[in-house]
Amino acid sequence: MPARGQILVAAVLIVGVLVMSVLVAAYQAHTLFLRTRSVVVRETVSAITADFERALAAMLALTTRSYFDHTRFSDFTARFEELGLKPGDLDSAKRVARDFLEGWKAVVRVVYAEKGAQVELVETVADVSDLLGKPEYVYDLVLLVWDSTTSGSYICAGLKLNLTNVGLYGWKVISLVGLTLSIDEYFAADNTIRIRVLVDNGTYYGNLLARGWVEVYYQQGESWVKATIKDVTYEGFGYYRITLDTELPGETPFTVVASDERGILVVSRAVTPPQLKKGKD
Amino acid sequence: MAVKRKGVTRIIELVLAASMVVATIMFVIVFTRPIRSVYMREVSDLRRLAYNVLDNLAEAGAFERVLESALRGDVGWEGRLRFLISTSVPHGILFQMEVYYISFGTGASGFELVRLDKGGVTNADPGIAFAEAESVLYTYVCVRDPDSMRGRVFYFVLVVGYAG
Repeated sequence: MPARGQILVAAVLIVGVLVMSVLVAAYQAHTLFLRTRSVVVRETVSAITADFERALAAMLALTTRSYFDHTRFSDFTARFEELGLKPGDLDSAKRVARDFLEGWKAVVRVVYAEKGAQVELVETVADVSDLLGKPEYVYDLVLLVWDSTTSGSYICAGLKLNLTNVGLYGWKVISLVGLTLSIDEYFAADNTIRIRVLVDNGTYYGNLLARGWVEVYYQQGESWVKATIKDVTYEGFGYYRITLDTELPGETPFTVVASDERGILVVSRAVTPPQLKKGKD
Repeated sequence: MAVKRKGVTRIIELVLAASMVVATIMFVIVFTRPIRSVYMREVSDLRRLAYNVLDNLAEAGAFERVLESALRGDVGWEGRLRFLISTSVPHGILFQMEVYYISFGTGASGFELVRLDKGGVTNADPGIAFAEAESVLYTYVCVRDPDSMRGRVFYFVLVVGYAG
């Protein structure tokens, strides 16, 4: 009887060791698969994802430029008129953007055919309430919230990607591309406006002077007049101080237009504070 | 005594069998080629280098400026692109790049690849063959200035390698 007990204990130990060995082997095989898979496809996936964001940015630039001033940016906007873009029309711009993204998808499918590329674009909802300080969502591909103190231009879509010939399945990324502009304050004493510019999910934008541009317009009667900008200074964390050559009267509506290097525009509007009347000495 | 001898024999057999198994495993480990061999490592480094070069040029907005002149019919654009890539790759690395413009609205698949270069975007002499070369594919939607380039789509094939 004691001998049978020993055999049982030994058998249990051997089976246990075997099971653990199989589990370790399976784990190693899985990690090996993940490691070798990422080596093969990580640069490819990164390149496709980056180009997807560029495609979104190009379409948001097209939409905002056409909406703001189609004629002024006709080197860009006029090329898309034959695809159905109507000057200043947001709906036609969205249609063109969707067609363009479908075309981009077809290109990626053909170019990366040897890797077995399967591409799907999905429109999704993005919450931009934190960026704008009020409840706003990107749900119809493009959202333009302009002419507020805090304004934004956004485009959002998702990319699903399989590269079947190199063993990659289920890659998914949701991209929010955008530009947010806030008019922080107007200082009547030295005719300066402080603004804040953020890109995409709220990253500070520090290239407005080097790669982008900014313009200021103010209302004079029924028309809008472009103000002369004397100086723009970057103060860090996305803040810029714009010094105007023109003194804006009190309670005058003014707009600030900013563009990043991708060509995305955003328009913010505010009103100068009332001028204090000087008392007698 | 006979029972004891049988036990000793079995233990010796067991030790011999275990030694054979261990020897076989060691033999397999020593002589099996590892998955990431030296050759594989070289190729993956070249691939990473090629993508880095393309990413850096894209980030700098170089493609828009060079390819704008290509679309205008300027003949010197291949030399400018060759110079930009030459300054980005280490000494001793050969490269060859093909540049295609993607024309939408034509072709069976809704677009057409139009080759722009004439084989001049390379630092390799015609007689020199590439060794351990790696080619990368790259689609590029223009987003930078000038406005005339925004929204245009290009396709690059960059081959990098060593002289054979």
